[in-house]
Amino acid sequence: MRGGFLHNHILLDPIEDLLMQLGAATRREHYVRSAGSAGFIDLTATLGQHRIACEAELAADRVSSDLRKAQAWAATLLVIVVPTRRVAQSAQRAVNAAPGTRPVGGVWVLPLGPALTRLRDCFPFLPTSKGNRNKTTGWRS
Amino acid sequence: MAPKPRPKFRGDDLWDDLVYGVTHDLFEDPVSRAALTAAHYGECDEEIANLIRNPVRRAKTREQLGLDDPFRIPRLGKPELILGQDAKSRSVGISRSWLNAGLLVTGNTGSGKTNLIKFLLLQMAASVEGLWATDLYKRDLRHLRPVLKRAGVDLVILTPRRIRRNILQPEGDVQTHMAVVLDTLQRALDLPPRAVTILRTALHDLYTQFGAFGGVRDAYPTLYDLFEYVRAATKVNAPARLAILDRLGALLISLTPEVAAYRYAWRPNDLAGHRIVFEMCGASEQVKSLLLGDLLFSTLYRRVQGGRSNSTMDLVVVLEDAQRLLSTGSGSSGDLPPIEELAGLIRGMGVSLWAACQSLDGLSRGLRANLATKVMCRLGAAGDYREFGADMGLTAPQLQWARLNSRPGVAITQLAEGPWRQPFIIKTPELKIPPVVNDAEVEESTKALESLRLIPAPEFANWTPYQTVEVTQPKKASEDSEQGQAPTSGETRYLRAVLDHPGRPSSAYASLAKMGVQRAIRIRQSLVEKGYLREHTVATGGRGRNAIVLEPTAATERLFSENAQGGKQ
Repeated sequence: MRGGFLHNHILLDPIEDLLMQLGAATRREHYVRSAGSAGFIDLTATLGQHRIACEAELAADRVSSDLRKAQAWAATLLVIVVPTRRVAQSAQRAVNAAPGTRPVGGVWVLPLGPALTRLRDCFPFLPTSKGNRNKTTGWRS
Repeated sequence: MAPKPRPKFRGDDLWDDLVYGVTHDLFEDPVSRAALTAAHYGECDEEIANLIRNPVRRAKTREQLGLDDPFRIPRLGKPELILGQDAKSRSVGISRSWLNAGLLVTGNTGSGKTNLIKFLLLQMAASVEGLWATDLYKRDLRHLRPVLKRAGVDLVILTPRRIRRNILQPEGDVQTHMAVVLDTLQRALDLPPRAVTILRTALHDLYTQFGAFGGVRDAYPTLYDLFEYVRAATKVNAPARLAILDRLGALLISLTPEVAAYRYAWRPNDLAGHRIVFEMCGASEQVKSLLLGDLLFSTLYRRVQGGRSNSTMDLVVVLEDAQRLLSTGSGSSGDLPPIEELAGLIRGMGVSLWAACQSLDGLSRGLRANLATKVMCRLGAAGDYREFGADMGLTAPQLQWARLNSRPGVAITQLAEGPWRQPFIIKTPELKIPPVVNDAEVEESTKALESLRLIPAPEFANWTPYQTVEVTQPKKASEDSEQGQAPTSGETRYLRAVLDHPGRPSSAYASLAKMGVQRAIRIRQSLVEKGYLREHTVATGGRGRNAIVLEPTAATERLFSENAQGGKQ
């Protein structure tokens, strides 16, 4: 899996855990391809009619690529999780400046804590399913 | 019927009209020329006389009404360099070599000086080996780069931070360079005579120490060495020493070691082979004066010393807004002739010096005399019109016309060389060059100079004018007793907690490792220093400070895998 400790374990694991608890079917490193571009969405989740694309970013420079990939996958919501509020501000500016259409549900650019809170608040509570955590490291394999 | 009396040709008003017409270029068309020829051969009837009189009458009427300018159309031969258009919209061109005698352009702000300079630069850049253009206050000349690129000219744009110059590095005779340096420093720092004497001794000692007099040619003292030398010389005259330290220290702070701390830096002779715009806006006046003055003086003196005579022009030096640089206000050490004499000496040495000024204020008479080709754009002061007009030989009507009719793009020119010395009018087309060159492009342009040799003086990389002592915290005895970088038992416990509970805020690990909060903080910092943990800042909550999240490194995993293997054995 691509990305470092902060990207994969600190930012994406909690989001994936939460989405699974909410009953979503998740998938890491989802390959998408559209005219002229191809890439991997860090995390995708399908929850009923919702198609949530989740990208973890440590800086704002790849945000326009995230938007293209979300559009290619026909996501209804793009969640860009960043480590701090400062990065969130710059990423939000990059989102505002980027061309192209947005998912119908919008683009959330949030630090980890607020992202978890908003996902929890905005999606209905469903029976939880436990993730496949590694028993020795505690991280998702 | 008696024949009509033939008009007299000589001795009456027809002769006066003919002279007036010739001196005012009124007989340029074929019909007028044919009439002149006929009159010359004595065939001057009334019709031919009218062909001569009519244009003269029209011209005199227009002149009395103030509709025509009182300047003649120049006849300059085959042009190599177009100055602009004359009053009849025909191109006015000169030979390139005529500009060897220097060019002085004066005009107040917005009068078209820069436009004229750019117009000439675009034509000259491809045909000369070296071009130095200074943009002291604006960022205008950089936009010539893409235009010149199309002509195969790589224009380098040097900002003050990108210049690499050790002004103590001689090129040629060390003794002469020492005089140049003293003169440049005195000009830039405005030093008292006693301080100059101290600097002279210091420079001599430094050059001796570095073996420059003995022929060593790859490492020279820097200005920082000079400062340190004077700082250490506590027995010299105290006020003079302090004057040097104060002024040189302030200069070196503005100059920065990145620019000036080199044992061997770019030589003016190397730079003379490139087309460069010195974009000095943002630098202090001292830095501008020092860097440009040094380059200019070093190059000019070297050529004067070389004894070249009547060589072809291979370097054009353009000083835009050069009022301050060329001003005679600041002093000189007296060892060298001032710039105005130098401007006269370089004529035959292949350097063409162009200066653009807003007024004549501060420019010496000698400089005006030696920048022989003169262009008067719109001026803003009566004194300037009077003085510059007198320099250019303008008549009273011409001067009055200049006062009332000068406008942007229209200039009165007098050439120093060539067959035509009378002043004439040129109209320079307005160049519309799009401002497309950004700072990244400027950075890119300097790659052309990367091949030039540079030997830095790293000991001055963090130089400050005040002596500093580095204070470090002594290690505690307990830390000294640690064997290498191995973690202590408390640190191992902390690491275990991090591995077992990844992704938690660092504050959580104190209780998980069963230790106090302050101790946990110390241990965390120690483990980060030793390379067992890496810290990340993450906003894990909705509000409040960001949490520190700890990432175990490969060293931690190795440590615990070794422990696990040791336990199994």
